[in-house]
Amino acid sequence: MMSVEEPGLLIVGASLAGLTCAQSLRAEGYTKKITLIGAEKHLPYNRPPLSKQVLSGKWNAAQTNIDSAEKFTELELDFLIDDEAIELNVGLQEITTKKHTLKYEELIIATGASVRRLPGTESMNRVHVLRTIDDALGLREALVGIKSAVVVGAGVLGSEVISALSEYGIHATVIDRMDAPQLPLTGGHFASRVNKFFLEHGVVTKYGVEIVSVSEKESGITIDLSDGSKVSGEVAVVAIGCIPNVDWLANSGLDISNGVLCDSNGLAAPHIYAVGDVARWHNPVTGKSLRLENQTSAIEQGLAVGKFIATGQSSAPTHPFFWSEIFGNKILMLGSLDAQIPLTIVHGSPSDNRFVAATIREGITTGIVGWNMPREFRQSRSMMEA
Amino acid sequence: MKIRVDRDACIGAGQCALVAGSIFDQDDDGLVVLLTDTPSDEYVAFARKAATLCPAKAIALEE
Ligand SMILES: Cc1cc2nc3c(=O)[nH]c(=O)nc-3n(C[C@H](O)[C@H](O)[C@H](O)COP(=O)(O)OP(=O)(O)OC[C@H]3O[C@@H](n4cnc5c(N)ncnc54)[C@H](O)[C@@H]3O)c2cc1C
Ligand code: SF4
Repeated sequence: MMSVEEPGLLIVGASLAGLTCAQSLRAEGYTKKITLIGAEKHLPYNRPPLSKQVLSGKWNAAQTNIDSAEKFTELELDFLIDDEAIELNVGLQEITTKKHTLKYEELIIATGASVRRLPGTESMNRVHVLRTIDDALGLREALVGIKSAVVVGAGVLGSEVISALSEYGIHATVIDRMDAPQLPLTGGHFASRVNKFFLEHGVVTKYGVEIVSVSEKESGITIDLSDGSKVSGEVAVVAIGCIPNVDWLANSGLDISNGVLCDSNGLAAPHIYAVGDVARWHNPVTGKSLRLENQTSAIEQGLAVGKFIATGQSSAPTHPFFWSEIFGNKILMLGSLDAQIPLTIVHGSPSDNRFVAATIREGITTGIVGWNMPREFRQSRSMMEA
Repeated sequence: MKIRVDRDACIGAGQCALVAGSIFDQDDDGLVVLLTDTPSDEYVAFARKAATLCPAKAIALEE
């Protein structure tokens, strides 16, 4: 039995990164107490299906759960749900939550990110965001029976929402301050391809504009734009990115400028680590410290920190990976494409809308994309190891 | 150990086949195909690794 006095390890944030870290610690032989604290009322769930299977109505909420309740019992965690950390005191090795004060020997920060909202729209019922399961179910309900919607932000999330709207036969208008849709890590190579899908599906596009004001009436939302035009829809969905959840670390002395700055083992300060969307890890290969907001990075960082704490061994840096499904196109992206370099087609053909492509700089492959060609994409991944 | 895969969740990333090619394959659409649902003891660790690494959490293990 573990002694009650032993504070053990504390993980703040009970989602993919925090949970993976707990699994990794146990798999690597960590035997001390692990406490996992999460602000949400739900068991940990996957967010990617929220904008895909859940929004389109194919899945119910329970299908997004990462693990069953029995799996948590196997991990021997003290699992505190519906509690939120509000302060970290590094000197005392202690955190304060809404309900408790907890000591730690090792602390894992896994608080993820929250959506960025449009100022002034926070209390508007017809303006939606999409980060949590409750957001997704609320938005899905709001789409029932409507004919028009405005999507703010033509990034990957906005693009997925637009393709769900189009499945429902809802007419969409998209607004972005950039002059084209943006998919992460793709160096802008597919902006016109995604835009073409929008236009083929009758989406009205408004690029290169700023939002001047948003107003809500009983019938819907109207947005005034910097080019003097107005757009309106029965609902608006705002998908303009996320902000790392670091407010509770404001007085900790940690570097929290755009996420918790960490070394390449995830260490932010002695006995303090950060993983997932909240973390900005240093990558010794690229020399950059970036926040990587995707599932694979959350998993790999959780695994690496668990192993480092349990065994003292470092893990090799990995390449970022993301996927998306937009208007039925399955997109897989590993590494990052270089905006300055033309694509090398490895398999298939862009004109058939099925291909694997890469950018190669001085003999080194910087990134590979699979576009409706998952098998060939997997076979081509080895290019990144060369 | 028994392995279950959820092909509705699978996004064809191929992580599973990369780390445990004797247990997982992909069909022409890239979706996961189980080569065996009861791996022999020496492959159990690989199945665990695949389940952890699967970015879509489409692999479940029953011990
Ligand atoms: C709609 C949507 C679609 C996505 N699609 C994809 C995709 O297709 N592919 C992909 O790779 N990635 C996708 N992502 C990104 C992916 O979901 C994230 O990278 C991943 O969830 C990061 O996990 P995390 O554990 O770091 O953070 P999060 O999942 O954000 O979890 C952080 C948790 O910490 C809790 N928390 C925050 N503050 C506190 C506090 N002070 N105290 C206690 N708990 C706290 C939060 O409530 C939350 O539960 C998508 C995200 C969204 C929202
Ligand atoms: S790793 Fe997961 S998502 Fe990828 S092919 Fe295997 S089961 Fe599917």
